Amino acid sequence: MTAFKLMRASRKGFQMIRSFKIDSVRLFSIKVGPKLDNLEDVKNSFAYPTWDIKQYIASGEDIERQKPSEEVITKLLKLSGLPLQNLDEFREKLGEQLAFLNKLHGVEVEEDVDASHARLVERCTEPIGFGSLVQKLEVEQKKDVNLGEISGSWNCVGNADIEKDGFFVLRNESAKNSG
Amino acid sequence: MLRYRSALKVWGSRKYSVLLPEFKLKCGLEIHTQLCTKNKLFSLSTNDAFAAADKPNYHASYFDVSLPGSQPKLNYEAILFATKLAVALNCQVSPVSQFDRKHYFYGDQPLGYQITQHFAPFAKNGYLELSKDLDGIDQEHRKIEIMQLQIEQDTGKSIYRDNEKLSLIDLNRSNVPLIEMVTHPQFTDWKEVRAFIKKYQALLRSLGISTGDLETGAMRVDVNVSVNDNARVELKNLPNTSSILKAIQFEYDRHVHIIKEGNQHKLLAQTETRSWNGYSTARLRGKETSIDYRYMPDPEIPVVKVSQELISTVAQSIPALPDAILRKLISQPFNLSLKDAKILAFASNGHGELYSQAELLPFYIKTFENYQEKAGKRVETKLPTSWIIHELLGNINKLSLPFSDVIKVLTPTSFSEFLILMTEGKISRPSAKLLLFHILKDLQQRQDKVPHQSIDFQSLIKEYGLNELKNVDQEELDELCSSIIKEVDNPALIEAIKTGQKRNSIKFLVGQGMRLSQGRIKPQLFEKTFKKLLRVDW
Repeated sequence: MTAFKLMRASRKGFQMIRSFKIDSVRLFSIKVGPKLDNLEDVKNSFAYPTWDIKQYIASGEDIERQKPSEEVITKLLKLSGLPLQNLDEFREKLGEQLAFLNKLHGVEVEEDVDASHARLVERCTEPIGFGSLVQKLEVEQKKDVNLGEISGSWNCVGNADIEKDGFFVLRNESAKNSG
Repeated sequence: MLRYRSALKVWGSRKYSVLLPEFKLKCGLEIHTQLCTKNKLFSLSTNDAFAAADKPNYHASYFDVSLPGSQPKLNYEAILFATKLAVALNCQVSPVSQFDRKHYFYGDQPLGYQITQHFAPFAKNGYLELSKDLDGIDQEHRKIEIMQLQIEQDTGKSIYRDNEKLSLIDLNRSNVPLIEMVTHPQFTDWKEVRAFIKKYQALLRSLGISTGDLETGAMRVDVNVSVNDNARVELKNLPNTSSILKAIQFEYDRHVHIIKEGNQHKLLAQTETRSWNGYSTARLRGKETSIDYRYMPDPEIPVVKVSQELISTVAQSIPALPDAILRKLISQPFNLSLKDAKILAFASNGHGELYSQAELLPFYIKTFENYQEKAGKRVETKLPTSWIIHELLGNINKLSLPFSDVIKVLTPTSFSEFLILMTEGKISRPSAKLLLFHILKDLQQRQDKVPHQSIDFQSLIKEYGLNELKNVDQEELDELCSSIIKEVDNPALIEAIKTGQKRNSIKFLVGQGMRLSQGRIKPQLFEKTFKKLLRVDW
């Protein structure tokens, strides 16, 4: 069992973890960056890294700071009905995970954004009226050959390892769909 | 165990079950319906899963087969169709709805999740009303409440080759738009379930948003069944109305048996999913093996915000719904039978028909009104019904002639004039039948060369000499009838007619007369003459 599973094992234990002091540090922010107009811009944007993965990995210092005490680990193991062994290993793993969570908490976010608008695409859309809907149907219904939307324009199963009479093939399929 | 199995067999073979007052049935429906939008839900590949059955993976875009990097883009035609249905079902359309990911792994679901609406469905809290007179339920009136409507994508199709230990996957159906409609568990009788399904199909077809066919899988029905408020059973794999009703009946009987044996605490304590195999239900999974779908909002699709203006504009544009049309047709001045009214109001099948109700109903109403106006006091209210529903549609089916081609030359005005000619006795009914068939046959053969001008029946009657003979010489008629009797040369038949043993056989003689006179003499006149000659006194 991982330390994280252990952490989830009991509600009481979880409350104990939540009561730890988490150092809330907001070191990072996300920027979309300038508009890329041509291929050159795209190449340049990939030529220089703007961030480092290390920024998101907790340091040894962070882990040390988040390590739960032996007493907490013992209590958690007892609550979970698990043998009292490998205490140091669990302390280490739990410390790593808490440090990582702390990093995530540290990411700067816009607090005033409605959570249901958390999208990769347009966030705050306007309610659609009948006129705009009809316009969308007239304008946006053009099939794009670059997206394979024209029937028969590309060989769908061409890259599959195995195919049969134009079908994809799934081997050893016995459980019929009941979803 | 053996005894239990044989008992199941007996129930399965039973044709009808009886609802027992001390065992209360409660059913709810979950209906998935494919929308007939031009394109798919999150891509613009063609939505035509049936026509391309022989071309697997033909209508499949990069997104439909889940190529890495492809993204969904909502097709707003599905929003328009869903709004129509929501309004027709008296639902509240949510001002804001969203799409979510329902994760499960399956071969015909290459994304690894289905895009559906779990947290904020498109519409909620609607209802559909059933009535004794129109829907044949036992109670005068029933209002079935609708919990919600959600838009989601269909999966691909798996063809199982168990012998070869493989499945063939066709993604033509992948990403086809579906609407899932969920009712509250308010059905207390399978008659209500049947009526609801029929009515829902009629609604879909009249709105033009789905074929509503169960047989092709365009509509799929799951049923929740519980008896005396024990845990519910969800029934799946129900391919047609008959299977749905039989499965409910089977499940009801199974529950009653379990309760009578006192085993409900053991066997009906937890929800389970069962499948129908044509004879009995079989357990698919129980609560303990229910799937955790790990729902999450889809971060690649914006929330859907619908304005009030959109909803009210759609509501105003919706055509009269089947119930309103039926009530109109069975009342004055049309006075149609419910059966005939249903033929005009909605299609029994949404696929491959030669005519649509959108063309047929206005044709009937305009013809009726024109005919009524011209006929005045001589109006025969059943004439337009009989000649449009039985003769015209019958011929159209016989000749496989699309109604849309017919109405180019046969307008309501010309057809009503044709009816007037019959009412005025200018053409006999048998001649009219021949003439109508001839016109349609001619139209069929002259496909693509059809002049778009209305048929002039009066000229045709003159041209073919079909006008009914006003003054028939009785002596000539007697002679004609006598020769028919002679030619028939069947003394036993003639004797049976005379004695009244075979009264209907006189129609055979009349038929011969009509044939020889090319329908220009009224059949009543022939019948009268035959009776006179044979000295029939019945």
